Amino acid sequence: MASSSSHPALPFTNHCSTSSIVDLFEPSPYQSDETTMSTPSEPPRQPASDLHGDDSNTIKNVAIVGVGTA
Amino acid sequence: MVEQAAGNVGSHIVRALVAGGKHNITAITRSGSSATFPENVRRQPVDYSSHESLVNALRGQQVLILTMSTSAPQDTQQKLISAAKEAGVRWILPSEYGTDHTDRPDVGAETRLGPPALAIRQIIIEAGLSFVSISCGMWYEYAFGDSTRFGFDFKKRELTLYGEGSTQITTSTWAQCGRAVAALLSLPIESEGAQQDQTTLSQFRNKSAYIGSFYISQKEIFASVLRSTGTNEADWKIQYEPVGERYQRGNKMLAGGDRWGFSVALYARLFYPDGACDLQAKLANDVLGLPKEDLDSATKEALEMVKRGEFEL
Repeated sequence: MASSSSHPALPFTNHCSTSSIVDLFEPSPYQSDETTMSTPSEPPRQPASDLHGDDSNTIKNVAIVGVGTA
Repeated sequence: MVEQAAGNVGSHIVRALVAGGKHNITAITRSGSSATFPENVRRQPVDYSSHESLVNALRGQQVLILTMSTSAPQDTQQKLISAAKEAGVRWILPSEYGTDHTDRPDVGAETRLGPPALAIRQIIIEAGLSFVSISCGMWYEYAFGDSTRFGFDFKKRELTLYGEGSTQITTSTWAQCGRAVAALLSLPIESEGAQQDQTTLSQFRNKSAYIGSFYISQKEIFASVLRSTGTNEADWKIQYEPVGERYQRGNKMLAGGDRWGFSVALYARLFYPDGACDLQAKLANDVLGLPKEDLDSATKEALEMVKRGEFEL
């Protein structure tokens, strides 16, 4: 896998990061913009309780990477 | 705005999770990021060069969803998986959102998307964590963004059909991807008591969750575009290119240093009449309670995105 920290964006990869492809190229000018999320049209419901909650058989706490940029 | 492709699916996932109201959502951002998020989404800046920073950010999390930008450093997923393991995270949704890398390694190899995705899955397993890959086929709206994808040049009103343009593939809207992730993470982790027949997250452990919006050919997309734009076929210049020739042409472009060749080859390969991107027999849409979507509405939305220049570089 690549170890460079400045690989270019592929302007067309639909999906995942593909180091084997990205390695073919020099850094591109296509640098990532931050994504700005508006409030969803559907009003959010009350958030789940903190930490793992009182039900260990459910997923409560979720982290997501890539909504902005990594 | 290409990297917003990754940002877009992530945004839809966050929206769906927020709408469900069942999760505490933390958005991991790099320090100094100006990204903004909906109410109820906690922002957690990190220093990606610091393992400790990543571990601290992930402590208390059960699931880590990766929707990496293609511009992200290529070892970022590995760093995050390593940090997730140390932080006690149990589940990873890797940054795939693609075709069937599990059962069609041939397609994965020929599109170049498979090997890195399978490598990440292996890293997750070796870390003792579990993954669920979202296999959604091609993103529907994203594929309107450039003529190398579904073959449309909307400014010129030109369409290139691959072969006869009648091969159907599985596609998904970003919204459907978001709903799928929210539905998956709303399942009980394990079956409860006597309810052995209930759907659980664990049933998807180290597997793909196949989803889709439209099983569709270029010609069917074109028909939707005509309805959505009020144009007629006579208003368009239609060309044909044998799909195998297009795939080889894309590879030659890529070998010559033209990065667009990757996209040409990728989409051409997926439109081979060998079921390369046919996920229909495996869809978990019903199990996950995903809605049936209206094709022309999705087409109109994609066309609006094109009009707004959201896909322009």
